[in-house]
Amino acid sequence: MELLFDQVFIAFCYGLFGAILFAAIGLISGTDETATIAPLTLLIILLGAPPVGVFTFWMAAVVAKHMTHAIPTALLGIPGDTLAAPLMAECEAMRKLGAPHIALRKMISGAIVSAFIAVPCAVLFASLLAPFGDAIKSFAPWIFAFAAILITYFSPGKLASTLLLIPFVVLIIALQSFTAIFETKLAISYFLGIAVGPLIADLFLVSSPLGRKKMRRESISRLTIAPEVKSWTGYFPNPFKVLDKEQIKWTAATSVISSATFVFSPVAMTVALGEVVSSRFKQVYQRLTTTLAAKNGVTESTYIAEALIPLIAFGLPLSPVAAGPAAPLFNAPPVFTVGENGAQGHNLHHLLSQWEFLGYGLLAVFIASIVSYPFAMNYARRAALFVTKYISHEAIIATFVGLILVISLWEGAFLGVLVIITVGLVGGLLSKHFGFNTGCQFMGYYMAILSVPKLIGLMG
Amino acid sequence: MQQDKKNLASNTRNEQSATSLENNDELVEVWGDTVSFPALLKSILIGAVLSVTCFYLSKWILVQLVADKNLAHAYSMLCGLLGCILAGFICSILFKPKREILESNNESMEWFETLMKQWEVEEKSIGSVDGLPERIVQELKELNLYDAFVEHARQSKPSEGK
Repeated sequence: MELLFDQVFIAFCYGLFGAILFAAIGLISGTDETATIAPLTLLIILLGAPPVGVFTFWMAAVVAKHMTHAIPTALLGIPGDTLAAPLMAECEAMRKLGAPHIALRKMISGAIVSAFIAVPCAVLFASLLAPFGDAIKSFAPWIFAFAAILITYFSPGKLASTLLLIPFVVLIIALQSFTAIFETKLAISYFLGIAVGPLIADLFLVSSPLGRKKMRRESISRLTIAPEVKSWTGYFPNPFKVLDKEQIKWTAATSVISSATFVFSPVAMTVALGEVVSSRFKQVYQRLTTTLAAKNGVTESTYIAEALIPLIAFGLPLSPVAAGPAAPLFNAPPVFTVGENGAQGHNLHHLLSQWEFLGYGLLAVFIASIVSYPFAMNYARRAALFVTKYISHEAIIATFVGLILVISLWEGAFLGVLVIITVGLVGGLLSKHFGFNTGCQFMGYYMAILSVPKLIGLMG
Repeated sequence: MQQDKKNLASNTRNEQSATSLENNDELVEVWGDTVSFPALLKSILIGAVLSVTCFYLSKWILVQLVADKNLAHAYSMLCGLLGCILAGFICSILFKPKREILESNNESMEWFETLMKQWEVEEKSIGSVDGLPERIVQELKELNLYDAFVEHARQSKPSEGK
């Protein structure tokens, strides 16, 4: 009993740390979740955090960041991160109606309701899938290939994205054989390169006089921030009072559905289910607010399910989230491994039971909601003003340039830097010009390391 | 003819703002926000130098202090990341954000009709406020939008009839 208490206490501390840290990081617009959550989770794993601590840290970080990143999305019209992209249209409409703070409240109230639904649902679906785990594992390379084709086809690039898998996978394989000459095997450098690709591509583009001409702006960016209206008393608002009955119903329904789908990208699920909800309402204000609550709920629940289902059922990163921001939970050599070439894997899948995933998952969501939810509801406007007024974009770019260099030097010395720049530049340009987004690129990476060796083996 | 005049006017305005900008820094949009190009170059330099120095310096010190080589390697990454944050902090002091916050004054409801017309052109359904749930009606009233929607519905009905 005492041991359990100790475990819960340790998990709580790690969760609280993750929630506070990422509630703050979420305020900075444009911080990609893969570029921030993955390296820091990796760091705490390598520093020797216990498995329950690692899991609670990750979950609390994801949920907390998801709440606060809604602030720049709703109030400033800058996507908080890639997940916020499908909500931009509704947020813009709400800003035009002069009610961005209402948009924000509907969004994060939808998210909190959805997070509490998604954890038990994901555990349930995972336990239904678990008996087929071994069968699925042996087919994993083919499932990855199939999922990659599906995900790329539903990305903004459509058919072009599916075809772009070919050169992208070839590039990854080529880089891997190149680093193999020096007996170096890299993983994080590829992830981070893909995640910060748009930044790397933009930096290359702006250093060319031709590119700079296109990126030139005549004036500084102008933003409006709506006045504050507070509709509750005390510090803790009740999400069930912020949403109306229809909104709770649709948020709950779409959360359950999206908890079951774990191979699709969260962005694709958000767009698809958002359309379903949006088509049910004629009146524009009701449509916008209900769609925002449901859409933000879907991004939350898909995100949670995409990490939990592969973790519990397979121990293999079989979804875009598991392959991206949750990657260190599966693969953080030498602590966690997925087990390539027939070796037995060793990661959170093997270390935690189904009930532990459920319990600590709910604990993490609870911690994130007491840290992030009231903060975002109460201080949204002031926080957004602070970031806009005092944190320049130059400072954010400086931090990310440093992050790119440190992580790649740490993983693979000079070779790591070469890989991260190459993958980042190519990935960033493909994403910008073809709609071959980061989700597609992550699938390309896994196809290169899992499906292609099998495929080559098959051909003899 | 009037159109031409307007174009001419906007052209000269553009030229004016371009010449006035020559004195200032060159503004470019990178990674979703506006930055000044010279400041960007300096911040990249600061970010790169500080983080790499922190990483290698701490690694050199830690290898001598910590017995476990893997742990020393992981801690040096942490120091490198602290270097990144330090670089961000220094740059946020050196370079001010290139953003302007406009105060919104929505006293006249003229903007509302303009917005509705724009949405109708975009074929977005505006719908009717009749039969909306109590909670939504209350929210609309608090936002001063309820009457505006009613007014809009009243005005657009006759035109739909034709």
